[in-house]
Amino acid sequence: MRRIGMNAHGLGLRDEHITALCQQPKRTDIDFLELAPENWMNIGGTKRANLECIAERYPLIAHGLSLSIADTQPLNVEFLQQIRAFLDRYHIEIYSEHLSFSRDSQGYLYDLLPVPRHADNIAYIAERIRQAQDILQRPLVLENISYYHRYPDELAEAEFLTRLVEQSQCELLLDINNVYVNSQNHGYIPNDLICALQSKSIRYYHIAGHLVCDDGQLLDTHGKAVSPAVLALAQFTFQQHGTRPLLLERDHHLPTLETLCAELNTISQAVGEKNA
Amino acid sequence: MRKPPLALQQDTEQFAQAIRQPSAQASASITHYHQFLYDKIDNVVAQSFPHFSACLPEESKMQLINAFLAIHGAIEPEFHHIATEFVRFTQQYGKLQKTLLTLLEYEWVLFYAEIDPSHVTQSAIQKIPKSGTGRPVTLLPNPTLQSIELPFAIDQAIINFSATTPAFCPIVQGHFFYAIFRNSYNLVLCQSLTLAEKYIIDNIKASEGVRYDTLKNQLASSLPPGYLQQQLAHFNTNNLITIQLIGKTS
Repeated sequence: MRRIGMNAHGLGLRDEHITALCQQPKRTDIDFLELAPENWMNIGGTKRANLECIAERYPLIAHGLSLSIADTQPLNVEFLQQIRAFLDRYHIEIYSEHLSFSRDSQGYLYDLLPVPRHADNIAYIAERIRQAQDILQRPLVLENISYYHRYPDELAEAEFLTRLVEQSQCELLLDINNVYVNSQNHGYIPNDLICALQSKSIRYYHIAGHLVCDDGQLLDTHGKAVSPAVLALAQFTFQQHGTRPLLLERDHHLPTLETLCAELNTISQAVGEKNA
Repeated sequence: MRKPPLALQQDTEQFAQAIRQPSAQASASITHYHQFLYDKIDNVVAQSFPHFSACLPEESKMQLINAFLAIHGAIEPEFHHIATEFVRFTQQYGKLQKTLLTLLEYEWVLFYAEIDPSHVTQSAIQKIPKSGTGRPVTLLPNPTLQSIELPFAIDQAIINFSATTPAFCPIVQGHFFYAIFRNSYNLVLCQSLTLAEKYIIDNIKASEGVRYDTLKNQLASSLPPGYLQQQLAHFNTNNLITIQLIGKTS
């Protein structure tokens, strides 16, 4: 396995940057890259060749999209076995996913849908997480998603996450932008949620930009630079929980690799200074 | 394994069904999620099937994507299979004009040749050795190779399919044959085939590898003298097939 240090800073791997990443020697300002295994598994041709090239240069984190850990269909064991083979093939230690569902009785929806945060659901989801971990032979690292729909009588996010971690021994990918977006959309203090989580359960952090709509709603678009408010929350998070690998996500309106690396560097310095 | 709580089943199923097919009175959150799903499928269709996407009027595309979300049960979790799921759905849906469906299927073959997990190799030898070398020759199809027949020429399809053509008919219609494949340099190629070339290719592909002698016996009477050997060398050079010598030299 290729280990990723606690001070490491990385970027999400995008098709648009692959040529630049393959043609240059390993960049010193990127410690690791994160990719969605669903976009790379069981694929040949140029994409496979590019992946081989990238994997030689950079340690990788796999960040899945389709596990649908909280749905009510049987766990897709074949898919998990393929994920494990992919992780092993590319010496990937960290596999993160979303605490969400993306499948109903009809089939896959290809989106991250919020799961009802009800106490009665925790044992069921925890058991599925443990089953997934047994197949993966790694801890499942679950991300707090951004959500725009609420079910009645839900537990607070931090309580739900903490109880799920306790029962499943999974780890957390704390998405700082998602905390901020949800806090603004659903009316809570983001720092309170951050404080309520247990430091030992946090494996790494995500940070990203969001869109402010005309009606004031925030959308987790990964299409803009990180806002000052999210950066401040990231500084608070590092102070509260300590240093962890930090991943800058950018999926839309992609700037050049140079610009993105410069933003990553600025963020790294900002959280590093506060945490020094 | 523990059964899912009934309330979880009801909550998630109700929410998923609502965003698949939102009612006119749907809440803002349902509409938001439906739009996220719609945009994702729309983006995949535009990226994977650019000509099809350009030919389909906006209203028809909207109806098709909404029907996909409402009706289709997608079974493949990987995101690169969304395009395949969309084609499966459209084939079953039955409401698309046949020529447009063929255009979609043609673009899917191109798309799949690009990502096909098979490993493509280049033959070490250039042509069929003369008889009497003592080693049998096997002809293997390129594992990504698809031999297709279209009711339109591909350049015609690109030029003449347009939203302004009321019936979405290509100007020149007929039977056009193509080999679509990825070569060992990872380039996806579309090579026009004559009927005789298609005949040879289909025979090699049908058996997923055939001895040269067997193929020669099968086809010799249907083809001009020397034609088969010449075409095989040509296919080998272009990476449509691989010529292999089997066993040790006698």
